Amino acid sequence: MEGRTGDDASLVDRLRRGDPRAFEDLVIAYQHRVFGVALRMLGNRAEAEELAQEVFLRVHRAIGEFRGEAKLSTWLYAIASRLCLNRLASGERRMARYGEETLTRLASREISPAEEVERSELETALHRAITELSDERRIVVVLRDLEGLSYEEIAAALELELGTVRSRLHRARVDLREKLERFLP
Amino acid sequence: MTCHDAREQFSALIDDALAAAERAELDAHLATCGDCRRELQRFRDTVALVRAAAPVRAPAGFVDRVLEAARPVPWPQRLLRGLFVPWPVKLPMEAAAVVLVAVGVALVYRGSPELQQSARQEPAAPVVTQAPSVAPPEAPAPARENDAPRILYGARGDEKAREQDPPREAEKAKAAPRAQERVEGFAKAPEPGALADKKRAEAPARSAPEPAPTARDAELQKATESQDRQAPVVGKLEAPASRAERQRAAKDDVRPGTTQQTELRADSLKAQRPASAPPSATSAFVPPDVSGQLAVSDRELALRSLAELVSRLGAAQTRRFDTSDGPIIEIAVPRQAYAELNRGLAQLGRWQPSKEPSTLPATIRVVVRITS
Repeated sequence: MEGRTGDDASLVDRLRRGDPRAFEDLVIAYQHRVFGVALRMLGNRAEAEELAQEVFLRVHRAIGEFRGEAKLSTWLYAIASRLCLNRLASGERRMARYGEETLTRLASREISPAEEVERSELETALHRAITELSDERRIVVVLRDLEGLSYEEIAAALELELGTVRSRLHRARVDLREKLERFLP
Repeated sequence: MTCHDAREQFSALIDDALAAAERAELDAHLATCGDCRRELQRFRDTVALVRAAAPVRAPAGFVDRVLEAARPVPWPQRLLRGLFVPWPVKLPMEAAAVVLVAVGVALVYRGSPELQQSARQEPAAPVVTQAPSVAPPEAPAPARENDAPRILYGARGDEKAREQDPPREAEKAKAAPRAQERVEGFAKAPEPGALADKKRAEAPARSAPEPAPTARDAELQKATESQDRQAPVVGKLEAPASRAERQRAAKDDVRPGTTQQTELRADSLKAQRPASAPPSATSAFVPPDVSGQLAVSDRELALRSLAELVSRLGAAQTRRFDTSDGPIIEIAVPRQAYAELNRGLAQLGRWQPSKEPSTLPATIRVVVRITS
């Protein structure tokens, strides 16, 4: 992602100029990352697609407000993270957050909503372990270990102190280490 | 540094996020603590597991859906969306409704000539309903009751048959003598005296007995009033002429409107007199030669003036119906006095007669509908 900074700068310029192809390029470039965050956070593909679409529509509407101080990717992650956390915190979710029972059922079905994620037992366990993290720890792990953001980028995206990011990430990893014990060599 | 303190730094250590001093302190502890080294390894393995998770890919078509959703929508579409959200569910229903309405309109439009035709034939109903009093006594009652729908149905059916095959109509007319007799009965009912004789000469095949005209008139009036009062009364008087009209309509099916009805009747008279149908079927019935509407300010005054005019011209008032729309007078006037009658009527009020037949009979029957 670091290597895309120059590309992002020109993409932002094109977006601001109203280049009709720029938004398409933006969606193509970031669709998987934004959708990935949404899916890891929400655990439901339909809901994740809806949220990812909303992220891009907000970017489309608010590109003029993007000051360019942060990376474009950080801005996108920030929007996606905030929307996810808001949705998880609100009662608007159409699907309840996965409890243990739901996850077990989900993991045992042949075709689950997150089928791609749960392709193997390890994947299933991993997905489940991540899903069971608290929202605030999960988003940090997702951004750091799955999306590869730096502590600083995570702090910027989530508007947190660096120490808070570091602390939450550590707690999340400790949780994961316990849950994934049997998969460790 | 305790083991607990050391393990709290593992995450930052893996991410190279420790300050140099922190890193040195932790390295020193790890060098002396085998448990913490093993624990650090498991911690690294855990993070490696998580980072090796299968990448998530957005579903196919995601980009297109986003672009579609982000595309600026033209205002008519936005308006429609506002009216018919949500699209995927409601639009097909709206579209279906539009198609249904369009088909319905098309059907009604296609059917409208027939509707107009049947509207013109509507006055035929009174003829049928009063049929029992006019029909020959030998006609059995149940058959008469069944006749009504048959005749109505036959009227439309005949029309179509006529369009396809006009000669067959004459045969049909022969085949339905009872219905014809009723029409005859109506047509000849009001003809008194010399005028009636004259008519008989024109209609030699008439055979039905004539009940008292007054009784028949009363029944006719009742039947007329029971019909749609909004319908032009002239049209009701034309009821007996519906056969001729239908013949006419078969020739020219597209002439709509009641204003042409009187004209139609006049033409139909021409059409009927040389009709190919057998005399027994058609010649007995002779509709008025001229009919029209006389708009006056005072009906009673107009009636008196008309009576004077009639007597002055040597004409005769042959029938009178009082309808809710006003009285209807049938006058038999000698041909030489017809022009004078027309002038007199024009002086009484706004006289709008139908087109006259090209050849006027010696005695002309004129129907005047007096309105205010």
